[in-house]
Amino acid sequence: MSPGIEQLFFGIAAVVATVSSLLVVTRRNPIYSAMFLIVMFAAVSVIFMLLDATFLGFMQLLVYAGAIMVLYLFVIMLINPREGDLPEESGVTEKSFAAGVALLIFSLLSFAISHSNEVERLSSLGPIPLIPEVSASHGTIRAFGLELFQKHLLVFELTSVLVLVGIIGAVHLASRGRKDRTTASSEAREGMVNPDV
Amino acid sequence: MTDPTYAILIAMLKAVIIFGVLLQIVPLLVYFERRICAWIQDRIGPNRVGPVGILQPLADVIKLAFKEDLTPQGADKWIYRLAPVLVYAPAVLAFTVIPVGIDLQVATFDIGVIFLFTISGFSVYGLAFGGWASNNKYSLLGGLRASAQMISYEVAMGLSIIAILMTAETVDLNEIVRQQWAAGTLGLLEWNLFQQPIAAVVFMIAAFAETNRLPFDLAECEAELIGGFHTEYTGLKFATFFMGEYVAMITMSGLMITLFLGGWSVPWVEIPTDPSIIDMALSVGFFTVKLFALLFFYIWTRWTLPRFRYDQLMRIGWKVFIPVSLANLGLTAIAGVLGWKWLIPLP
Repeated sequence: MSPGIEQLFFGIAAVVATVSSLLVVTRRNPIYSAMFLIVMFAAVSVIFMLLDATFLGFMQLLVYAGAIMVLYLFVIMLINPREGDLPEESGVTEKSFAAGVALLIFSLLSFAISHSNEVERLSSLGPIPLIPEVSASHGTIRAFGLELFQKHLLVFELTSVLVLVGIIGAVHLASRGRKDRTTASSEAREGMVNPDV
Repeated sequence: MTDPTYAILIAMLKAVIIFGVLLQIVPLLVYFERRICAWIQDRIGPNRVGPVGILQPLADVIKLAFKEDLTPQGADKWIYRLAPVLVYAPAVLAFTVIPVGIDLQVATFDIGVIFLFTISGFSVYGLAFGGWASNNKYSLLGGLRASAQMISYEVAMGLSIIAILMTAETVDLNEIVRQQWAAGTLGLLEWNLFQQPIAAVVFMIAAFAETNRLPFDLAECEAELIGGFHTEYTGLKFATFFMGEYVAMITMSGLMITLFLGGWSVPWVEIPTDPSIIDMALSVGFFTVKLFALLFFYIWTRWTLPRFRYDQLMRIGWKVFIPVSLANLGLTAIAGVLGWKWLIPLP
């Protein structure tokens, strides 16, 4: 792709991502928030793809926009909050406090990024190129897998332990709830999900 | 050929053709569905409009287009309008990577199968949003069921696809088709259906669940939920939902053919390295025949099996299909490391 088109797509994706993440926090209705969160994930995955990280971009779509948001949506729809059930908007004090914290984090992050080793290394090489030179295999499943399993194997395995802890916790919580209901009807014990749903 | 404008034109032409063909297959499929269902139930079925009732879909379309387009009171207008498109668009988009002939697909991605799997999963949002926005408790239940079902069966489906990717060692769908080809009638055994039978069965059943077809159409389930997520929809919005479901069925069948049934190849015809127009047409023909055979299987199942109960659906999804496909994945890994040809050793 020519640099002009790539920049155009980046601009669109960046604007969509920013606007939709703003909408996520400003919408009153959680269904709308969830919807704009999906849009935001999609826009971020477009940015990944523009950076030649196609596989990572699709994983972002598949895992976050596809699977996790369906779960979110499931929970929101199960509770199904309507206009009357929603809590009151917080006051000016809370809002300004939140804005202050957000500003602080933003400035810390931009300071950290602009003074990071990588940026300094790149800027010492002259002006940072619009489209960095990458090898043709960059971002493919092969390159991604080799990177993950050769350089970051320990981190990868530790992450899987973390996921395992989460699974065990979920199973424990679910089975504890079941024990309390042993006196309830046998139908309630049958399914993992309430059969009325 | 190297001229980029020319390439863009070709790509656009392909996209238009595929879109048009998919759009045209849907009414045909509805007609087949009604005729086959009538045949299975020992009825006659629609036979009044045109010869053998072939124009019936046209009459249906006219009826749907002229129906009053209702939006229920208290419905969320924007999401209500958006939902049918969210079912239809992903299904069409996902089909673009399926090779319908020798190296013939609309979009060439280096990660074709992952693209298809990702995009086709998005149609659940249409069902969920549509069910929620209708402001109807039956619709909401339908939408809820759709999202829970999709999450559960997407896992099993993904695991069975991974087993195929492990044996094929590529995500290029054309390459997967080429690997399934071997000369002679015994070459049939090279199909992943026989090489990976467990993955094939799990994939097939998960495909039924993903496309909301009977016996897993719990999101509609007219006996309990009136019409599920589309209860409140009328006219062309309903038709869009309907078409989306049929296109999703075609897309899933296309993926099933490509992954398990040898794609556009048949064992009796050699795959040419430099295909002529006739070779191309032949391969498209093979794909189409397989597609319609599989679609017939879908329809046949729908009118033969009763519907599952919702808790049964969840139980077999989580307690049978996911463990089975995980075990299959383990076996495939062991077989791959030991260099076995899975199950059936070929000469």
